[in-house]
Amino acid sequence: MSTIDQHSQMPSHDPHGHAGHHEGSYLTPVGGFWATVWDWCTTVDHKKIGVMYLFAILFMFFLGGVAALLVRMELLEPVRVLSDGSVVGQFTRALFDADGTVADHNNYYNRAFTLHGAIMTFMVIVPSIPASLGNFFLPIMLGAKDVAFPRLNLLSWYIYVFGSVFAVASILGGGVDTGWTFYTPYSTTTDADHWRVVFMIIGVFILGFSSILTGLNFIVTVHKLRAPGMGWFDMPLFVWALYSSAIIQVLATPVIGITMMLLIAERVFKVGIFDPVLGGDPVLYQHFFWFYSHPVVYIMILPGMGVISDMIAVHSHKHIFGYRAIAFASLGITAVSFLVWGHHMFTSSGELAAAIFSALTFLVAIPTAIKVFNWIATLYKGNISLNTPMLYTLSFLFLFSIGGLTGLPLGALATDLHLHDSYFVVAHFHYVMMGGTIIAFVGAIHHWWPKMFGRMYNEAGGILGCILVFIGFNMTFFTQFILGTRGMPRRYATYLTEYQDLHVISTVGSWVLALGFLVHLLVFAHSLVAGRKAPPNPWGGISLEWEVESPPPLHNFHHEPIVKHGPYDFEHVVPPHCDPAEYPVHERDPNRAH
Amino acid sequence: MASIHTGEPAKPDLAQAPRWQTYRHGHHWRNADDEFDAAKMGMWLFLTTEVLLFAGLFVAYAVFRMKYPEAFVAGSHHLSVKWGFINTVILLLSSFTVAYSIRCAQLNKQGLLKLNLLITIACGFAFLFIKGTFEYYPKIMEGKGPGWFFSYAYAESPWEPIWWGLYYCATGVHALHVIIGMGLLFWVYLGARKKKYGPTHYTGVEITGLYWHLVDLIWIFLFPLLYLIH
Amino acid sequence: MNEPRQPALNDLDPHGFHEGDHDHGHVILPFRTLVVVLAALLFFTVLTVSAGSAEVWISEKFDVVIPTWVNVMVAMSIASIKGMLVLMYFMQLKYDKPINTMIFLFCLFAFALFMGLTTIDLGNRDRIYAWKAPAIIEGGNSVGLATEAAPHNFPSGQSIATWAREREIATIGPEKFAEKVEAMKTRETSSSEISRPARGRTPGLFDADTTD
Repeated sequence: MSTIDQHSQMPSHDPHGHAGHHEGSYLTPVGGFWATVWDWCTTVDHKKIGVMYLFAILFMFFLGGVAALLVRMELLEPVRVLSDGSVVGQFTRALFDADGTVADHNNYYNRAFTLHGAIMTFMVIVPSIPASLGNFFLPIMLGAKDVAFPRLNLLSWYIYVFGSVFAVASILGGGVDTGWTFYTPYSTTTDADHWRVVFMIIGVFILGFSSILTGLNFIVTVHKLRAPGMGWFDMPLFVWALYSSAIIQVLATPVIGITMMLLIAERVFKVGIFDPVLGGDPVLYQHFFWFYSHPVVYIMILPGMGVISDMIAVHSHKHIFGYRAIAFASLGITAVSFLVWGHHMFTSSGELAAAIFSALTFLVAIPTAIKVFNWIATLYKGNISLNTPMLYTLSFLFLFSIGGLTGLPLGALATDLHLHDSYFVVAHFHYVMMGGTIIAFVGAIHHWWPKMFGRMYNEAGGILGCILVFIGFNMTFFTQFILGTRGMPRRYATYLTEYQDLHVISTVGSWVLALGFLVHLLVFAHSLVAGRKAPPNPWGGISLEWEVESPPPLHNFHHEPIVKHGPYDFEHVVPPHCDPAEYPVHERDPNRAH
Repeated sequence: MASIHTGEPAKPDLAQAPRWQTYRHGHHWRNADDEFDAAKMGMWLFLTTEVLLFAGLFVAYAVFRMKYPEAFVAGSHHLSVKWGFINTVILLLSSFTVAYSIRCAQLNKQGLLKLNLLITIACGFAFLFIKGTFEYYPKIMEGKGPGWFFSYAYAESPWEPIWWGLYYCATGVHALHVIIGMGLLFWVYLGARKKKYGPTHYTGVEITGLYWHLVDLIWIFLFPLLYLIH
Repeated sequence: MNEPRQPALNDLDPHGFHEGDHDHGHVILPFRTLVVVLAALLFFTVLTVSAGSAEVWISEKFDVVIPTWVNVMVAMSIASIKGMLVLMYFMQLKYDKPINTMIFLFCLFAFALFMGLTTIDLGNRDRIYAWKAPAIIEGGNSVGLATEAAPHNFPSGQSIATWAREREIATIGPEKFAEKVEAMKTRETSSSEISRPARGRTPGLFDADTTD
């Protein structure tokens, strides 16, 4: 800033000019330990912010996972177990009932599943891929030095941490039993004289800002910072997916903001808008809530679809099938996402609206199916490497298809009235959210791990973890489809003994799942400590992030790149840093974009 | 490339030049114009979120007015059209001064720029003062509070507490935005005192002005919806 | 995906952002425009207030009940014009890059969906099953309001407005209360203290005694 510059005619505006030609990687420490810590805390570098997001999200994922294990532990037996004398029982009591004031011990279970839901939704899955991997790779994939507003980016991370602190404080204060949806009038009356619920709501409100700032940043970055030569259809599909989900983040998140503000006003001042006791309308709350929270599931899944598009092409070493179809399907999902929120309310809304929403809901299947078919067509005749990212990609295709197809009976009014609030719904959205987003997230971490940290991970360990996660996931949640169709309702701590066999399989599955994630944790830790140094392009990818070193230099590129080929031009381009003998290509036609 | 040079010609001694002349765009931008456009686009996206934040209040308003129109008519008649009108005029005036301040920055009229910003901030204070002193305070004293603070004996409709709940929420959230906008304007004013804004660099004035205009825009819709119901 | 790439690439302007639109975003609004817009905004503010008064005058003069939507339509039309003026001139959308206008239109589109689908539902809840009609107890039943922290001693089972009214009657007596109500009914203008009921339009608690 201090350099004197006589406005725009200075040579420093040369797009290729940059001072730091010989800079180190972004991970290079700037000095002593505390200097480095301070550098990370005040950095505006999107890569460091992405990494900080990654670790914050993984920490919250751990917390949400512990809550999930508690939930499954409770359901191991038909009677209540979380309040017994076992270690788990004592732990739960200490967590949720330190002062011994909870009269109904079913509340332990209610608090466990609320924490699981709230943490996983607002603090893990919503920011997961966009805020961590998106922050890291979106500018690099576009050939930019940073996101459009680097300081806002850092602010968004601090807001995320600040909001999470509120949420965690409410857990440490004894937890919240409203369910992650905070439905009124229960959420306005429960724990009436305590701050816990208000803290959780404030946390969600604050986290919304973080999400908005990330989305806003991405939209402007995509519009304004593409490298020379990169047109809209030269962007990797991951960027398209991030762009589409960023639109939803900007348009839907403010509504959860006002919903949470009104909910706080409701609890603190009892303004009565959502409260039938004062003449208000609780169904209005549900509309408010789902106007955000339905689009938000597309904020969650779209980036997942984006990384799958990239991973499937790179690890098949083949041009993605139907690039434009997938890109437009992303935008199509964005458009449809605002039309279908009422399918969460088939039992509470009026029948007329329910019929409209049911009809609109089926529209979602079209762009989603287009994507799935294109991914499968990409695999056809591909040169497939069955490594961890690819295995996760295949898991995604399998699990997400199940999740998507089971959404159809739930979108149909008549069947939904039977399946509503049963374990079928629980299984459905876990297949989409976890089998979709989290699986894609973990796969994408493996895919980009060498690029982010400059170290290879142990492939055998990664594959083992992936298989464990796949088996554990299906054990946990496929059983729940059966439980749901047999009538097991959601959100109950106890159940009839007839359901126990399936519940036991499900709970054991949750342990296998936890074991799988533990394996991944060890693999990553091993990689950081003793991993082999990663080459710049271990997979033979050709989008821009594979052109830079691993880990990338501080300003991403030594010269502003000029894009001359598409991100999936595998047939015509030797991948950067790769041996041409290993990647025979056809004669390159200079007129071909992809 | 920046395309206007309508202000004073650049002074030869750059060490003495005002800060707007020495401003250099962020290292990740190709040129100052891109940075300016991006800042503006980012602000518009943010304004989008603000509109949708208020959308919740407007939807709640629409639903309850549709259901209980008589409560809204009765409740609205408790509001003073006079003060509402004066506040509208104040906000319109402040919108004008903000738009004018951008013009001043573009033409390098530093004194007028600061004056306009100060007038805008003063208008914000006047708005809040009128709102608090002549509207909120007497209403609450009479028992026309939101929700369970309601104790007014002469309500004409049993749904009137809902009306007051909406009234306080909508005007309260709006007032919050007025306060935030005044804070931002004050920050711009401090920058203007340091000559941060001029013909080639006035991004801060421009995007803060956009925010303030939005506050005005929301009020343009809130005023008839709340005060002029018959 | 197979279109030929444009041969020449301008490195400084790779996307053609600046072809022919150099002045976008850098318009200096003439002072005269600003003043005219301000004057128009003030004019429309006066107009919307007058329209409200005119509506009352017409309904009283000719003894007609004007439906609610007239008020909303008139007020919202004028407010939309005012909003357009602010958006186009003060916020300079008219001179700005079209992307910003598009962003704002998307926002209004989302707003319209939110408003439209929510009101479709909440306005038609009893369309098929009458028991889904929203209100069961007028103004709510105040159950659970009588906590230690409550500002008043709410009884439950009736709306808060009814409770406040009965408390007042018990305090000042029914005659005095009836007097005050009469005084309010004949008032010509509203003040911040007392409301003037719109004639024939507010069958509420005041009229409950006669119509019940």
